[in-house]
Amino acid sequence: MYLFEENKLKPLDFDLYYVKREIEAILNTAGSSVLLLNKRLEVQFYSKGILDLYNISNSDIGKKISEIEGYFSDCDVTFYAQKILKENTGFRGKVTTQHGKHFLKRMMPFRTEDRGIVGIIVAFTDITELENAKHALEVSEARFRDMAEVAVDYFFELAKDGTIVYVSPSMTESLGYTPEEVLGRKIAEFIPSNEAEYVIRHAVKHTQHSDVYPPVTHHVIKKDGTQIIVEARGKAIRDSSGKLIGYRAINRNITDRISLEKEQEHLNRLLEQRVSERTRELEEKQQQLEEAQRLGKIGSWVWNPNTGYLFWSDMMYEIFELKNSPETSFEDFKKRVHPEDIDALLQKEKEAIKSGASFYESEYRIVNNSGEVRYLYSIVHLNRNELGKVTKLIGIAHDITDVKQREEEKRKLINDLIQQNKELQHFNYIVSHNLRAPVANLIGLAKLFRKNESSERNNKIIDSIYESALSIDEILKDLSNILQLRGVIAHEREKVLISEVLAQVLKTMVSDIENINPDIITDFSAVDEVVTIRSYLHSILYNLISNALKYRHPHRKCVLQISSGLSENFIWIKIEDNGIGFDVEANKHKLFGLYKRLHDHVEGKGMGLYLVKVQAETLGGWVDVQSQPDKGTTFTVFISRNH
Amino acid sequence: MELIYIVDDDQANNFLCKLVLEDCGINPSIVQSFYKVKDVLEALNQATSESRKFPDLLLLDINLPGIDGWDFLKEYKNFPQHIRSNTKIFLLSSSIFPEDYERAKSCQEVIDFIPKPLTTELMQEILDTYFSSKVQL
Repeated sequence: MYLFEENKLKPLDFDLYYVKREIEAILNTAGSSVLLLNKRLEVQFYSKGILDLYNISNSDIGKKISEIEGYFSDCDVTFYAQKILKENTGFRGKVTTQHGKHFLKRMMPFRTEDRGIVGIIVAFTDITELENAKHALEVSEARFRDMAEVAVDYFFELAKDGTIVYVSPSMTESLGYTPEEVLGRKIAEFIPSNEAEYVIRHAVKHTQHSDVYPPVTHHVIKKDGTQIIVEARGKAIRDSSGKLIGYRAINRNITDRISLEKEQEHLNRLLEQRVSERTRELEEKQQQLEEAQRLGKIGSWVWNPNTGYLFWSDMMYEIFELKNSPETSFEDFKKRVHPEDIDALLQKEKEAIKSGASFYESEYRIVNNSGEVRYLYSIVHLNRNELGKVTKLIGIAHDITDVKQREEEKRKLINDLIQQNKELQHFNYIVSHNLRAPVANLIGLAKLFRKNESSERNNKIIDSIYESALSIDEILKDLSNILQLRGVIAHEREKVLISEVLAQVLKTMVSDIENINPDIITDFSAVDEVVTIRSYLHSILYNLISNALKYRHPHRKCVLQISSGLSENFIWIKIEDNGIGFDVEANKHKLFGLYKRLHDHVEGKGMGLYLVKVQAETLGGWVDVQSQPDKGTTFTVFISRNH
Repeated sequence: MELIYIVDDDQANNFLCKLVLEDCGINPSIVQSFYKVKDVLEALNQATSESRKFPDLLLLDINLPGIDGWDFLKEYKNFPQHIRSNTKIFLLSSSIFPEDYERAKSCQEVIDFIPKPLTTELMQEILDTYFSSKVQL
């Protein structure tokens, strides 16, 4: 602080004295170098700091400022001081000293209230550091600009919504637009529509978790409508709280550098980008897909055979009933495939991988976590790299168990229908054949009858006609019996004892029993009571026993063993004889046929076993036969327990 | 025409066939009826061993108990060709199913299929066609 010495004040400069305090205040607050001039531009006061600028000492007080040597080349204090006196305004400027220091120079009039301007204050503020910094900044800016102009064709800034808020003037050269023509418009307007969405999404996606986004190559539409290819790099602009407020990007025109191949590659990349885009969209639809999978019982999976990576959709876990289990592996999966299906499945997969196929289908069973067998239908796509090596298998598995069961039921139904149809055809064949035989006889015989002639021949013809008519009658009776059996008339089921029915049967054939006197051994200890149609059981026992008696062995005592038992859902009744037997294989097709007979040495219509078969089937079962010629025959009739 | 066999378990048909043949001028004494295939095979075996002639005409029913007409034809093939070559076999059946007819036609040993009942007209035609030189009216 450098203050006035009061005794040095001259009367003319008296007014200046009044501002002493104010000057002191200025010096205190501004920290500047100050020079005080009177109206004649004579130095009245200087602060110590001024010595950097002027070679001045106390002896110079009262001298004109123009007489004092300054350390700077251009600092026209006198010129501006006169201007201030004349115009009554302030002035500011900059000076640089020979020592390289920079000062801000401020000059202002100094007034009193009644006498107008009494002097001029000249204040210098050292701004050397500021100037140096500013200069450095200018240099670096220039450097950056130079670099940017070499490396970058133009740069721009976007608001968060893609509105262009700034572009570098160099854009005009690249695109033909002036900055004014593009400011306020959306960036997407300058990118071909098929690329815009991707490019924008690229920027958005990559700036979600990072500040910069990797270069993306795309086209930009010039003002003249042609396109250039640019490589765009950019970063997010965030506010102080880190919230994204826009983007800053630099674009390099790489059109010239992109050869035809590059262009192709670029297009490929764009395509790939779009594919990944699409994949992402698909991923977005995962929710719906999962829902659909759940409804359709379709699981999906991805497996990399090289790394062993296996992904299962939730539905896969659900199909295998492994919902709360840890992630599965391919080995684990293999263990859960039905043991009878695993080899074929692996073989199919191996072949598909080897053959170069792009997909294969398979159907296999699995055993789920509850031990239940489920049927899966699977379509598998094989992803291959450019060398054809499989990199991934992507598959869906559809639980078709219900479908399979329905199919199985349908198949069974169809088989039953086919079987029934066959039987009906056969029945039709037999009936028409057997019925037609006596009818043909009637026709033939009637034709041979000689009218108005009484002869032995005519009598014989009449006898034969009578026999044929009886045959017809008998066949018609059989027919009505069979049709009854075939369920045309509903029969009531009741609880009956096999032993009781057997006793009734034996009673009806009492004369045969007396003649033949067979040994009949029965064992109904395992099961005696059955719920069935009494008349059927009666008929079955009757026919089988009468067959056993009829085809007894001529040289040994007839022995019949009749027993019953349980086998799963069936009750079986076994009738075993020691009769003449027959060759089962050779007679299979005749055995249970209507009007089919194996033997011609005894009477028979070929009805008995046919009836047994039809009745057993009506009771939900079947008839099994074992026989050996000369040894004996065993018929086993199975009847469903819950039919 | 020296010998005719009729093979059918149906008595009425055998009787009918005999009458028809008689009406066609065949002497009933050369007509033999068989009820079982087994019996006719036996007769043929005996004829073979005794070097007797096989029947000129054989009317064979298909539907027989035990061994049926088809079985007979299988067995019949085993007789030496030179013995059986002059025998004309006709299948006789009440069947009206085309399958039976086709099967009969496809059988080399069978001349034709005759639907029952055999009529005098048809028999006469057969005799005229296959036995004209031998028939004495």
